[in-house]
Amino acid sequence: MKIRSLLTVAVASVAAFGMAGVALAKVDRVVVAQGVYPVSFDPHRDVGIPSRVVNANVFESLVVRDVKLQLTPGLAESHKRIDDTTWEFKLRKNVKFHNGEPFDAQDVKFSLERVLDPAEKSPQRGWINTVEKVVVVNPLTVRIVTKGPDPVLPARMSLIFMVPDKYTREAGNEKFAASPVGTGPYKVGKWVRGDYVDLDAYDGYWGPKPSVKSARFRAIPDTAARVSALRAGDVHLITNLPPDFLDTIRKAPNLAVETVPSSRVLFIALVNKQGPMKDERVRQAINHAVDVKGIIDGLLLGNGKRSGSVNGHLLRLLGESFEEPLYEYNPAKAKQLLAAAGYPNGFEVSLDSPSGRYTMDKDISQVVASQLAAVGIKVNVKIHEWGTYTGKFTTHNVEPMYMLGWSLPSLDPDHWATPLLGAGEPIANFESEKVNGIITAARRELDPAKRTALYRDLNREVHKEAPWLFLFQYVDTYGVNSSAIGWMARSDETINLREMTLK
Amino acid sequence: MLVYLLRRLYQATFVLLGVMTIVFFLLHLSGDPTQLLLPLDATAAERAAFRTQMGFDDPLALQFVRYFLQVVQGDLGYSYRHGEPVLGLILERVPATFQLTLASLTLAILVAIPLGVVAAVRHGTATDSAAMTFALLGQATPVYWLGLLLILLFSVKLGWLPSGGRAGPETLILPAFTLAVFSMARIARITRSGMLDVLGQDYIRTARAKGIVERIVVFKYALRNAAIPLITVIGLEFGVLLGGAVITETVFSWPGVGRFAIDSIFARDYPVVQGIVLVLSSVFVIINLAVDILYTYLDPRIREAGAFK
Repeated sequence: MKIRSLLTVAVASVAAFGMAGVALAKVDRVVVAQGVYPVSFDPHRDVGIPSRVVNANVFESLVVRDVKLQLTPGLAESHKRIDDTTWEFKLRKNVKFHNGEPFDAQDVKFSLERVLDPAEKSPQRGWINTVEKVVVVNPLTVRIVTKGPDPVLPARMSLIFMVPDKYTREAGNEKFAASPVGTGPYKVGKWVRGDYVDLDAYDGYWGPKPSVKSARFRAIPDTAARVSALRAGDVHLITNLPPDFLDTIRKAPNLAVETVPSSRVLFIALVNKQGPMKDERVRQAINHAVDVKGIIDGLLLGNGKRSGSVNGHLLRLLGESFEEPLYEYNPAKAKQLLAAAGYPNGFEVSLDSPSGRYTMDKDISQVVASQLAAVGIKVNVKIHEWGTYTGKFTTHNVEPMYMLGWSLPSLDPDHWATPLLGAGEPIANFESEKVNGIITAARRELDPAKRTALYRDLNREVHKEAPWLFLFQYVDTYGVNSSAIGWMARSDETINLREMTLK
Repeated sequence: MLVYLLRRLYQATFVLLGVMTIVFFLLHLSGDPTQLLLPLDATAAERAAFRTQMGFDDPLALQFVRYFLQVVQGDLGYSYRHGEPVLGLILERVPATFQLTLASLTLAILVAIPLGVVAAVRHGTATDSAAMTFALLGQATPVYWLGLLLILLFSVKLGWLPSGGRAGPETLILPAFTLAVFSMARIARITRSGMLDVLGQDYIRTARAKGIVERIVVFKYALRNAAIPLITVIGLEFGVLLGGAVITETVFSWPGVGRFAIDSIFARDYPVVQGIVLVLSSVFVIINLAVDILYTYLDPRIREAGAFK
């Protein structure tokens, strides 16, 4: 009896401590955990998402994407096209950098030229490589001249963050990265590289004052540890929650899973330069032979949306209508198409696959291989570490089938079409005059409605020609301490603290 | 003594030179970092321009000579990714790694040596088996699994300790213990076997025959002699922990050198990887030297054998 009551006390106290684990009290500082620490607080130094997530709270661009991903005024109140190659941006008045320096046209010129200057070695140079020159008209007006007609220019301007001309020059790059200065709603506070960075609300911010006054971005590389930190109440928001942890989070009190369709698509490119892949019917057969829905349900536990085009998912994310054409899973039809193309007994082919870069990447490659085997196509899967793999697919050194996931922060449809399917592009390995023709026309079309119409055409053509084994659009998953914060995930993978509320 | 030291330091420079050469060429064999530094959709022209800017186009031998001349002047170069001096980036993280290593090694020694001694003295008894089972378990437990289990218990369930990060002393407890378990096992086993060897020696029997208290026989006569191989193992263990704390650092998001090394390897940030290897191997060389000097203090035979001639 005595022992039993002792046990009860022990169990109860463990349970009580367990409950105490998830914070119920109001939080002073919101803690966000990503898997990776930002490479640099110099906003022109890196192209990776973890850096961008932090820097987007400290710095601002001329144009910004709102929660619905529409381009809206940022540091520029408005912009208009003067002629085919000239864009004029009117800047916001009374904007001050964190050090008190006023923001004006000279800072725009300096920031853009800093990215464009080869000596600065900024990896973001390609993002604005269509810019010919930047002209200061007056302190609040700046003109950007492009090398040719560039409908993507406003979207490009959402990528480049503004830094102060005077301070950056005087401080030099190293000091700037150590004590960065932007115009954003948060200032960089204390940081320990590899561990955390604190952001504190900037009192002099020109826009609405954010609800979250103080935040910390931590790096917790191990997924299980990241989930544990959320469950322990040490952090309030975690990124990249893998499918097998979703249930744990959903069942925990005060925790919630936040999901959003991602702009990232996963596909297996089919190189049509030689061999069986030259035949459109073979590429269509491959699409009919793989049960993509089964892969999404089985490997991603439903966290993906089937795709059948190059940027149809993106048109929808941006608020345009487009009905995604999908290949029916039909191995019998696949066999017929293979026979019609002259491969009744199938063939042998290799598939390059990354490992650990995209959720379940190599597992998906292996399932695809086994399903293709069922229609007679023997696939040898070659798995590569990401660093080695980038060296291969950026130099056309790939097998006839290779897996790639794609997303770029500009969210412009062209940045899915041109790099992946355009003629002569470094990572494109598909030859089709028709596809390339539409891509080129869309890239030069300055009328937004006509441009969208061209992309609808493109997607239907791409679906038919099947340059890829179309897989799916990822669904991004986050773990949230819903008793502490209110927050909605964005499809562009950024975490804007000003869009967050404290509970 | 001074001559001996100087000779060892002179030898050490060749070791470091060798390490530097091997690491440089091995890394550069592993591929071109350009692809990982630029956005995936960068054009061929942008890639070519970037390569020239970074000096990747030059012959490997020239790149090596350039690097070598830099290093002998104490300059480890700039990180490709961070655009900041490598030495600063490494030194920023060294205190975290040293703190974790020292804490776990201390913990390991405090537990393992008494455990090993007890096991040896009670050789063949249940205590011995229990101690050695514990050691075996410690050595067989995957660090990753143990770390996560401790987090689940002490952070998620009990809420007593933070789940990770490096702040106050409370954040050190779980990672230090996790890291210590493996070393504990090894040190306990070496202590036990060393003690068993020594306890069977004639001079121990003589000491006992003279009626010296068992405690003094064990700790003064036996342990001091058994300590010689132990010092080597502990010295090596320190080196292993320094470089091998990667998993612990990852599980507990401890901002140390190990994790930085792994990140930099995957990002092909050569200057950083080379820098870390150089710094860690320097530490390793220094530890080895310290162990050898400690030897001569512990074992007069080595001194007499002419180490200092």
